[in-house]
Amino acid sequence: MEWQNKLMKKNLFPFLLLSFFLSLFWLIPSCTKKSTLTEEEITKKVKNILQLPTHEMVYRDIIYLDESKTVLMIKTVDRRLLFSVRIRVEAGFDLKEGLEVMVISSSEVLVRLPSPKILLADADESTLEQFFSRETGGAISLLTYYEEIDRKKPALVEDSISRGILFKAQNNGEALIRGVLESLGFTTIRFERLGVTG
Amino acid sequence: MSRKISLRFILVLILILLILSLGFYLVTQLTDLDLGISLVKEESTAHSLIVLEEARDLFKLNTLEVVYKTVFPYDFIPQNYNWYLLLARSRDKRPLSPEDSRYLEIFNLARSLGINLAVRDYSFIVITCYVRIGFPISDAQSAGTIFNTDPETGRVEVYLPEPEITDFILEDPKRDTYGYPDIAINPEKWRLLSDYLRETIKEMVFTQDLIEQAKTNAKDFLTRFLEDAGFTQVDFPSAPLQLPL
Repeated sequence: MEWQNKLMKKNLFPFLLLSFFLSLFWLIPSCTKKSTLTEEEITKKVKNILQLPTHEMVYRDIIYLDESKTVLMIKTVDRRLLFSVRIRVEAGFDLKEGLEVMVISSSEVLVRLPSPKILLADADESTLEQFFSRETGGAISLLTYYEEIDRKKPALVEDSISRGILFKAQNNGEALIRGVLESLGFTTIRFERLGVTG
Repeated sequence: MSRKISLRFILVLILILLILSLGFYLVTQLTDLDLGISLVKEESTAHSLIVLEEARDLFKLNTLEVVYKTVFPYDFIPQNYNWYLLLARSRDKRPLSPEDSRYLEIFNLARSLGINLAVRDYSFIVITCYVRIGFPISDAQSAGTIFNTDPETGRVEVYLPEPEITDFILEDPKRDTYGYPDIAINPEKWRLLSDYLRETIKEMVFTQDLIEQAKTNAKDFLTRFLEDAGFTQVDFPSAPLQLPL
C-alpha cells in the first residue's frame, strides 16, 4: 500500500496537469461560436405596386395579459402585462386593378376607378407603450401578445368600414383626380366604378 | 424466507403500480378524461379595449414595395466575431472603429432582449418588413404646379417630386405562419428592436436603383393616364416648374 501511495503522490500532479491541458484542447474549439446562418441572410424581394391610399383610421388597443402556473400549490410562473399599441387601418385604391380615363369632349372626361379597399391593417410598433410587465418565470412571449393584437383586427376593419373609411377614401381619391384633371383644362369630370356600367 | 417474500412482494407491488400509472396515463391521454386531479395548474386571461383615436386623409402614390426578411441579430453581425475583445476594449474605454461601435450597439441591443452573443445563445427573431417607396402628392402640389399643358401641341410637362419611403411596416408575427421558436420579449424591448430595424433597413433599402425604379413606375403610370386624357407628349423635366403669379 505504501508503494502505491508514493506512486500516486509522484504521478498525480503531472497527470492532473496533462488532463487539464487536454481538456483545454477539447474545450477551446467548442467555445467558438458557429452559426449556420450566412452573413448576408437578408431575403429581398422588390414588387412594383400602384397604390393610392387616401384615408386612414388609427385605433388604440389597450391589452392586458395574465399567465400563471402553479406546481404543488407553489406559483412558478406569474406573468402580467399591460400595454397599448396603435393599429393603422389604411384605405384607398389599388390602381393595378385598373384606371380608365375617357375623353367625352374637350371639356368633359369620364374616369372609371376601381372600388376603394382596405390596403393595410397593421400594428404600428413605434407606438408600443408598456405600462407594466411582471415577469416571474420569464416574459410573456412575442407570439402570445401578437395573437391578442391579431384577434381584434377583423373587428377593427369592420368598425372602420362602418365608420365610412371606404366612402371617405373614395371621396378623397375622386377629389385628387378631379384636381389633376381640372388643372389640365377639363371642367366636367364624371366618375364611375370600374366594372359597373350605367 | 420472509425476507425473500417481502422483496418479491415489493417488486410485484412496484410493477402493479407502474402498470396502473401507465394505464391511467394512456386513458387520460386517449380519452381527454379530466378527473380534476392535477399537480400543475395553469391559467391565462386576456382583455383588450379598442378606441378610435384619429382619422386622417392621406395623399400619396406608392409605386414600389420592398419585402425584407431578416434574422436578428445574425444578419447584422459577422460570423465568429470576437465579442470578448470588443467588450474588453469598450470596458477599458479604448477607441473603437465605427464598425466596432455599430457591433457594440447591436450587442447591447441583443443583450437587452435577452440574447447574449458572448456566450452560447441560440435565440433569434425572424422579422419581415415591407418598405413602400412612393410620392407624397400633396407635397408635390404645394411645391409647384404639377402640370404645364400646351393644348395646341398636345404636350404636357409633369414635375415629379423625389420619391421617399412612405411606409415602413413590420409584419405582425402570427403563431400559425411564423414557424420559428417563439421568444420571450416584452413590448417595450420589441419597440426598441423595431426602432433599430426601421433606421437600419431604411438605409439599406433606399438605394439609387430602387429610387429610379420607383420613379420609372410613376412615370409609366402618369404617361398612360395623361395619354388617355388626350395628351400626345408627356415630359418629366427634372427641375420644378415655376408657379404662375
